[in-house]
Amino acid sequence: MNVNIVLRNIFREVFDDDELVISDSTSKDNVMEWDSVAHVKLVLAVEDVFNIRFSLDDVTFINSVEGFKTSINKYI
Amino acid sequence: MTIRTFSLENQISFAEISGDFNPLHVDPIIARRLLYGDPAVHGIHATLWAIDMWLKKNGYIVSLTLLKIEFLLPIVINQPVQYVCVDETKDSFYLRILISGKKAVSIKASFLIVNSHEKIHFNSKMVKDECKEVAVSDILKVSGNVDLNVDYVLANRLFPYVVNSLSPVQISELLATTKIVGMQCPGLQSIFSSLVLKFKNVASNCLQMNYDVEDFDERFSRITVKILSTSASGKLYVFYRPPYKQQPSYLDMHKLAARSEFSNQRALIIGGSRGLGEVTAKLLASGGAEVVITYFRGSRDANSIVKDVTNGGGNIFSINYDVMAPLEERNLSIESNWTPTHLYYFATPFIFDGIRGEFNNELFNKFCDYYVTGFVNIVNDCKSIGSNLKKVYYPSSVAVDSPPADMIEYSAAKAAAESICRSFNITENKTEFIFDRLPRLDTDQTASVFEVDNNDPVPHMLRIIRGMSD
Repeated sequence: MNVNIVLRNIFREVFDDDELVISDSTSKDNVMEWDSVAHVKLVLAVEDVFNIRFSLDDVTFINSVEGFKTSINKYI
Repeated sequence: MTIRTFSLENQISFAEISGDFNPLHVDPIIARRLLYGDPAVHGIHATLWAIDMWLKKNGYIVSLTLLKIEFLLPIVINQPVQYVCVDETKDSFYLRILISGKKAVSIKASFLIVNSHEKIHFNSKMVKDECKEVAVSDILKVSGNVDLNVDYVLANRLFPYVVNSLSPVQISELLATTKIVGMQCPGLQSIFSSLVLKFKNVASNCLQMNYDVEDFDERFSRITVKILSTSASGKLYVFYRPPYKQQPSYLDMHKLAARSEFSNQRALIIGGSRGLGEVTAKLLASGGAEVVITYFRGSRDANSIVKDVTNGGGNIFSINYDVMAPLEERNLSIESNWTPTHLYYFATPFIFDGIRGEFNNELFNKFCDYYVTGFVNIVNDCKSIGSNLKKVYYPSSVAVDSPPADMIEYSAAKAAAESICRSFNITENKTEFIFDRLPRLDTDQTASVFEVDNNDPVPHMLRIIRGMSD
């Protein structure tokens, strides 16, 4: 499973943008739509696809694509 | 492009059709203390309007096979929203409702075109049930059912094309989802987040929808509710909504200040019926001040505070006063020619109305009306009743230092108010205008579905009141 492609697809689904391009530096600071509701949707979608469950600390720590990758790597 | 607003009357009509009378949607006085500051439009109400717009244009008679709805942003009454059909095929549509160009509701459906629908006679009469309040600790045990129902006459007023073109059972099933969430599971403290429904074409006399809590994710206070009727099955996703913030009682606070510590203050507190105004009023009264609180819409809340403080031995009363009213309608008449020596100004609209990264001039003007014009009005009104104000307190915000992306208008208006205070300190030489930048304090305004760090307002306000007594 290519994590980059999976994350890209999740971000495109959550932000409802088929042309969204993401990188490690994509974060809450540079995606205006990444509010608290979108964050929950991203977390739940990632958990669903990777069949993992983040801790509350992970959920709080994650604020970028890089943060998602770091947290995913802890569980798979 | 189709733009509309939802009125409170629309909301009450929808509540009568659906049975979802959650005060978040229909009670402006209670809703002003909840997450959005105003009654929020039922998500299913907005959805049925969007489907109505789509059916009006296409003229099909349809039977839904799949429906996915996401409620992304709250829509409040009198807020302009726009309907957009993003995509459609011969058997699907994708609709959106936008607020200022941002996605508020996303509706994706698959359907079959049919010749007609059988008119269903719904036996049950929609009754206004009590809005239940299920505790978090009990949520996993919750299950139940609601009767399916459509009042065709009422529904026809709100969404005539839906009534004419969508299966009556499917309409009733959609209406049942909002009743389940808003009135029963979890009821009072709910935010409907999304739903997925699959439909099958089965005739049945069983006009009920059953529900059962499948999961509760404590990290996000998110509930998954499984629903099932004869012809539909699916899941509802719901967040627990935080209740409005109840500040400590007078008795809880009355030992924090020395008995006569504030007896040199005749304090007028603008916006004293809740939040920081309420805390300030109780602290001042507990320290021996004579206190008058004003309220705009919250007479129930103001009366409750007056009763609480009076029963505890404090000296307080309340008056109705609107800082935004024209001069001839602003009435600062207080008993026995009472005039304040100290003024505390907490009048505010709902503060989290901004959209990230966008400046909304109308919203900025609304904040300025409250934070600048209203403030100048009350200072002038105090003078007009012969008050010699010694000190005036104005609550600014740390948002002036670091404006959050969705609070640009708020931050700019607070900065403008600080300038007014500085100007007054030059022109009003008998009165000292004090302002400081408060951190995020725990009030109705700062309540959030997700965990945030809010500070206890009591020690902050006590420090400020002591500074005003010097």
